[in-house]
Amino acid sequence: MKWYYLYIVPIFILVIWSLVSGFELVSPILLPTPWKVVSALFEILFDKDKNILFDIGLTCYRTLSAFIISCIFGVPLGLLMGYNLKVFRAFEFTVDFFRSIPPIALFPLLILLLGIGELAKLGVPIYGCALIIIVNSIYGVLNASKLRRLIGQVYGFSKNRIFWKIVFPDSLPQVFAGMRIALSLSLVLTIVVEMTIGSNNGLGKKIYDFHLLFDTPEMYGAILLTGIIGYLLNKGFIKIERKVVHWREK
Amino acid sequence: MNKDIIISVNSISKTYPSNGKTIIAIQNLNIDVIQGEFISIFGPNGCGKTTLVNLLAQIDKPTSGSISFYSNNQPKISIVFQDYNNSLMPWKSCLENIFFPLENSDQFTLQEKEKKVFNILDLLGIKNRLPLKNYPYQMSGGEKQLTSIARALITEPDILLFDEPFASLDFQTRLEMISIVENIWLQTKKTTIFISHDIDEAIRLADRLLLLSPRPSSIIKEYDVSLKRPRTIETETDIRFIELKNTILKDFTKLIER
Repeated sequence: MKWYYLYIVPIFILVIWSLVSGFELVSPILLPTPWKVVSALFEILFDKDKNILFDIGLTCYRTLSAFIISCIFGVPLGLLMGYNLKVFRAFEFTVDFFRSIPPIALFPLLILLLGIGELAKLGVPIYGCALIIIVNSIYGVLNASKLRRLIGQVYGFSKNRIFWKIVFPDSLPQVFAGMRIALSLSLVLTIVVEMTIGSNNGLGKKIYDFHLLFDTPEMYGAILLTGIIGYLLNKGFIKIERKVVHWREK
Repeated sequence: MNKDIIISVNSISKTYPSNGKTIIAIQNLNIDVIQGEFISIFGPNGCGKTTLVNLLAQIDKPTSGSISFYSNNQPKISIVFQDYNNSLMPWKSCLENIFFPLENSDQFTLQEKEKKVFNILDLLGIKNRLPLKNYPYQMSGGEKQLTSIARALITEPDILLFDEPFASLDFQTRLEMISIVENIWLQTKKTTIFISHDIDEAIRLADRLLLLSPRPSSIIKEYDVSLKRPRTIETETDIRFIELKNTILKDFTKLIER
């Protein structure tokens, strides 16, 4: 594969964008030129008065803490559900039911219960991520090799030991796949929550404010920033994933 | 009761439900395994060989009949499976895979385990044959199956059970594996049960060959293989080898045409 394949589509989009905005085929208020967006991006990053570094930090902090909390709950519960039929049966309906409720639909309820502080904001991404992590952890255990489990039995391993020495490592590739999806979703849900009522900081709030003030270049800049953050989080996680479950897909 | 018999399989049957019907996998099967012998079990596809393996390894219980073990205590059984990709732990290196069964007890240090692994490999004469630091996905099929064999031996089992171990290997590797397995047996004289649907390797390795019928399976016939050891690829061109093979194949053909 040629190295430049990676850049063909982005450059194509950039060229189209430059042409359309340069010739003002669309109103500049709706679509500023790439150059304007980039300079706005630098302004909101480095200009003393406009800078939104604090909001970026907050969004990252919320994204990561929601992700970590949902892992702490989701992974053990998912693994247990996959390994123990009784636990599976006990939680199956509940998990399936809540899976059908869009996380953001719960936000008003969470505000009611937890107030408009950080807790309600974290609640939505935690809820969304935990379900994905639970479901993937269940399948991680269910898809673990039956033959390897049998080998544990042949060598007289206890049920406990079969789990920790065989089933748990065997489930890790799927668990990590679920965590990777959850991490991306955590950012999405955090931004959405920051855009809604009762929020006064974070990248989502900034995007919404720029939108209200018709600061379109800044809005585009902030949107690009969320894209960059999401991309970097995903790439970083893939690096960790490759290290931990190095045997995956080989 | 003959003192030398280590396992006695007494008219066992095994049935299991499948799609509402009852499938008889094994019916009235008898085997007496003598201490230290090499038995090959040969039969057509789908004759309940895997069921038999599970019964012998006591992972599964027969529906009727019994399997008795005659030794001081419960004999240790190790199994080498056909599917080496799924039987090795992909997250463990070759060396760690070999000493995996010993992880059942915490009384060994890493150094002791390494020493044990080296001893086993030395015994098998394959010390330099295995890339001990590599992971299964970095190893060839033959190396993976050798790793499984070494793993089976590290527990110092009383009985070695092979379940079509070379069916997924290429011809050249298979030939190498056959001599390694014979060599192991000559070195250790461990009771070995070798299940195969390859007639050449079944005869080549066996002291005694049992012919299994299609489902519901039972032992149809028994053949003594009294060819000189160690056997080589030339053994397979020996007139006695060919005659025995012809006899078995004739019986086999009759069996599947029935």
